[in-house]
Amino acid sequence: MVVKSVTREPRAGRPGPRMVETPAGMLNAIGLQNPGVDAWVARDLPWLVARGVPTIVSIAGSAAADYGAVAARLAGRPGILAIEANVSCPNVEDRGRVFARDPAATGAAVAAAVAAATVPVFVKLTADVTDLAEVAAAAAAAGAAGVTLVNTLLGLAVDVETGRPVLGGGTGGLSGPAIRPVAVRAVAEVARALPGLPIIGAGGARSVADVVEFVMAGATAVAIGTATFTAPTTAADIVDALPGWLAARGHRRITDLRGLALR
Amino acid sequence: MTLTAAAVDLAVDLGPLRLANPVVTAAGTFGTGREAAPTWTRRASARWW
Ligand SMILES: Cc1cc2nc3c(=O)[nH]c(=O)nc-3n(C[C@H](O)[C@H](O)[C@H](O)COP(=O)(O)O)c2cc1C
Repeated sequence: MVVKSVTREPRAGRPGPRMVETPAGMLNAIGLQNPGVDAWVARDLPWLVARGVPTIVSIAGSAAADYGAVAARLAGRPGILAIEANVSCPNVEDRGRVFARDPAATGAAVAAAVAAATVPVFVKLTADVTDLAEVAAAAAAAGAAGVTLVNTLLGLAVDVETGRPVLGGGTGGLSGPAIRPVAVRAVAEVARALPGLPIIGAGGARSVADVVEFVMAGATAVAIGTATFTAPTTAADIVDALPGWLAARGHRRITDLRGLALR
Repeated sequence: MTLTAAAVDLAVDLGPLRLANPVVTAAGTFGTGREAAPTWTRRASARWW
């Protein structure tokens, strides 16, 4: 599993309300609430290790050096399979512009994490950019082992009775089935431009067919997010149903389907 | 001979990582893991986590 993003210092997150349902999806503005990396390492990591959970630790920061600092705190700890650098957060050294919107800022954050990490570093990107392949290439050049596509898309919902944003933080991240075609397109775009770069697809997947769709677009793995809120066992249910689905269609290996739609 | 579900290989190589299957949970939607434990520990966790 990929855990919630951890940062150098504890973060309280954004004011409520933090979630609102939208057509075929939801907007959230959690604001990276987390106990900070030291508390996470002391309290949450041992819990995961004790249960043998293969853990990918999502890390976030507000300056490139933060990614290095958090990765350093995780270095050498047992039970951590990989790091996922969430660069879809505001960069205080760039007037609050999101790292993932800029290839150079993305590269700097990734390089800092890679330099300190003792495990492979994946990079979580947003599709809210002009040239996603360029940002993915910068991440790869900085040493990323792969990319996760995509984080939520920035959205805004306004309460028409009050004239105020519905979410306490103003804007929020759009997730769920509404963004799936965007996410599948993002995966295909990067898979085509950088054929050797492993991709974890994310965005609205909630069924076996959705997972297969991401794989056919070029993803190696697929993350299940928002679907979990309505059906908590979605990810396990998909794993259970996948073999039967593939067997019924004569597919012996899931890897044989990767990138089929790009050919 | 028809292919059985048991004969299907779900393992994937995610760069340097070998995963038993291609499904992972998305960051932030499963907490740290502990939050989701009540629904999980009785179920497939031992197998795919
Ligand atoms: C409530 C909520 C919290 C999230 N928190 C994080 C986070 O901490 N770090 C991160 O990289 N992505 C976070 N995400 C984004 C998801 O990991 C995922 O990329 C996105 O929601 C699209 O997938 P989905 O439609 O299956 O949810 C969050 C999403 C939601 C809905």
